[in-house]
Amino acid sequence: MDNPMSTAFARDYWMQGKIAATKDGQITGLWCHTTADHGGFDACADPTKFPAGFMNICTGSHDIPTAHLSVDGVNTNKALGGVAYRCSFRVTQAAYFIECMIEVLAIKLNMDATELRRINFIRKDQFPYQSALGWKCDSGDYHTAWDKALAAVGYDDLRKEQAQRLEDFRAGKTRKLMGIGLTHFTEIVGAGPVKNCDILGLGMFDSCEIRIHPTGSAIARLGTISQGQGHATTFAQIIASEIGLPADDITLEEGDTDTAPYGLGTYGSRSTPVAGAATAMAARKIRAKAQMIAAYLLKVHDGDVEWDVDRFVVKGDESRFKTAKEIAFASYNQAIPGLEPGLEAVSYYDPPNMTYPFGADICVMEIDVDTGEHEVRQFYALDGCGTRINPMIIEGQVHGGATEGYAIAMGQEIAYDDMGNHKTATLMDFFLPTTWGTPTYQADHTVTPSPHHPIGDKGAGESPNVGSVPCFSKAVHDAFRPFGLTQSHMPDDHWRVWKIARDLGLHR
Amino acid sequence: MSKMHVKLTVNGAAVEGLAEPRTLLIHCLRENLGVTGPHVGCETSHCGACTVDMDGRSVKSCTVFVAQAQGADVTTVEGLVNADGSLSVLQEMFREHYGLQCGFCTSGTITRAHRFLQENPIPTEEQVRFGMAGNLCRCTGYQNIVKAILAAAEMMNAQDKPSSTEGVGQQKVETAE
Repeated sequence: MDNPMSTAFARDYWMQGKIAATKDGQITGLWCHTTADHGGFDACADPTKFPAGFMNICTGSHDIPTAHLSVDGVNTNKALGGVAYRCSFRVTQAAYFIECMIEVLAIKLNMDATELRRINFIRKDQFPYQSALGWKCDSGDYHTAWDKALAAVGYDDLRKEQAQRLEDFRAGKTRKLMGIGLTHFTEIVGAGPVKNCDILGLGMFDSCEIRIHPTGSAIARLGTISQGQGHATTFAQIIASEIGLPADDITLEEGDTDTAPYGLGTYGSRSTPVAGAATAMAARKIRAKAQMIAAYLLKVHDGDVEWDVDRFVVKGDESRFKTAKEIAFASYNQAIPGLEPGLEAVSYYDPPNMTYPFGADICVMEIDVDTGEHEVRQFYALDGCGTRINPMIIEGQVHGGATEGYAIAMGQEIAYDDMGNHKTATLMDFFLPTTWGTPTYQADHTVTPSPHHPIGDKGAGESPNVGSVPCFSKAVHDAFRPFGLTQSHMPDDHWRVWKIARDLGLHR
Repeated sequence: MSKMHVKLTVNGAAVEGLAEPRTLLIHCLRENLGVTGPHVGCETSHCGACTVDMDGRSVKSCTVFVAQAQGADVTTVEGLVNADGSLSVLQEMFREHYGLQCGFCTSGTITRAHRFLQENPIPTEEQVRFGMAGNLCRCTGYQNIVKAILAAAEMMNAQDKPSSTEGVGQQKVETAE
């Protein structure tokens, strides 16, 4: 019980917004003021020049020419604040803010929100896109992702079903409403460029050191640390693709500060965008040396061999080649003029920009107006994390991230009573989803590689959290919209949803 | 506090020794016996990371005194492997279907799933979700855990004689409901 009472919390934001648009739906400006509760003190390891991700991406996926943001950070008598995990830099709050603003704008303009988005999405040909908040978004194809998501769930049919349900509800044939939540989020992750991002003066580069053994096996050491994201698999795959050795023969070692190269660790979806880039770059240094070794062994000029999956082949003569494994042995076994023995490399990678994953989430929810209970009937999550290295790992991240989003949106809260007593100090009181009630997710994707990352990767861990939180909440809003609800104060637990229904006069 | 003499079976091996009566089974397993498969999570029986099998029931060993385990037959995740040390079908399915990420809950989850599949060898997805609700996981969203358990059930049933499993399954399904 001491842990939930005394350790850090986060995301206690009170966000106010204004959005300006023309009558036909073109957004012209955004205003946001946030009051952020940091508890006793802000304990987040924020980059010095990147104090909150929120401030950098709360225009979302939209081409908004002007934005004004301000924040009041307040200290309260709660525990230390500002320490979130899975989206540690508050992009979830940013997505929640802009997604709700779009929703409200659609209501005001009496427009379908899906169409309102199409009008305002940053177009594919606008990338790299300079945002009003000062960042250059790397790549995206939002219209394609949006259309794919809507088609995948049969959006038009869902709306027809919803209209029928509403009619039945009004006729007294059912007590359940149906809500459809829709989000299209854009993330800012992969911190980050040393010129923008540092922790206590250390630049947020990351690193990888690869040593190829004479046998053709390898060890790679990185500045990140896997907490279950499957680094040993993902990074071995990157190396295997770059230098043609089997992934099973590549050992990953992370987290030993006696041996690891310097790095800033794993959070904020930065491992593959930064350390993964370092891995590819170190592997390419090795491949460049391997090319010289292969050319020497094949008695041709360096430029006369070309790379083919796991070997260097003499151009125009496929029968003459040296495999990566043969080259590895030769690098330790042959005296090659002008080359040091051995085959290893290190890369410290300073990313030129952040990465900007995006995605679309759609939630179909059934809500019992008399009890406030909900059932997530369907949850579709399209993830645009750039080049996909291991689909199974990415989908695992989607399932887990969306479940955490489900918890945040639908019940998770550190609550106090009027006397300041902590009301949610155990795992029975603080909502953690179990197998029972946790939605089943349909994971989908589009691929829009990052143009500045060596292999086009953008990072996948945070995205499902960022997109799903507003998506679940908006499904609740959507269910009650015909009765006048525009927004609610999350989390939408059973009690709050029951109160929404009561306040709208839906109880008998 | 005076110590008491405790005898129990852990993963098929008879163990005995002196323990304070207030010692929790999880602490006895991990600290006295070096059986570190079951994990200490919440220590309030909410999370399920410490789940072990005791006399044919799943128990959360953080809220069982070792005195209560006197004479009991305890199986932890270490005891679920095949006789030759290879992974059991259930463990293999967790690997195959990526039913774990960080792994902290995994030993408790698999130990519970092992018992659950004996309680209900032919479960529906809904029954798996109901039967596994005492084991929290913060990484996977449970989707691949449920998938792994259903796949294991299918494989284990395919290995058994069809006639006998059918009977047992139907009977157990009724009990579970």
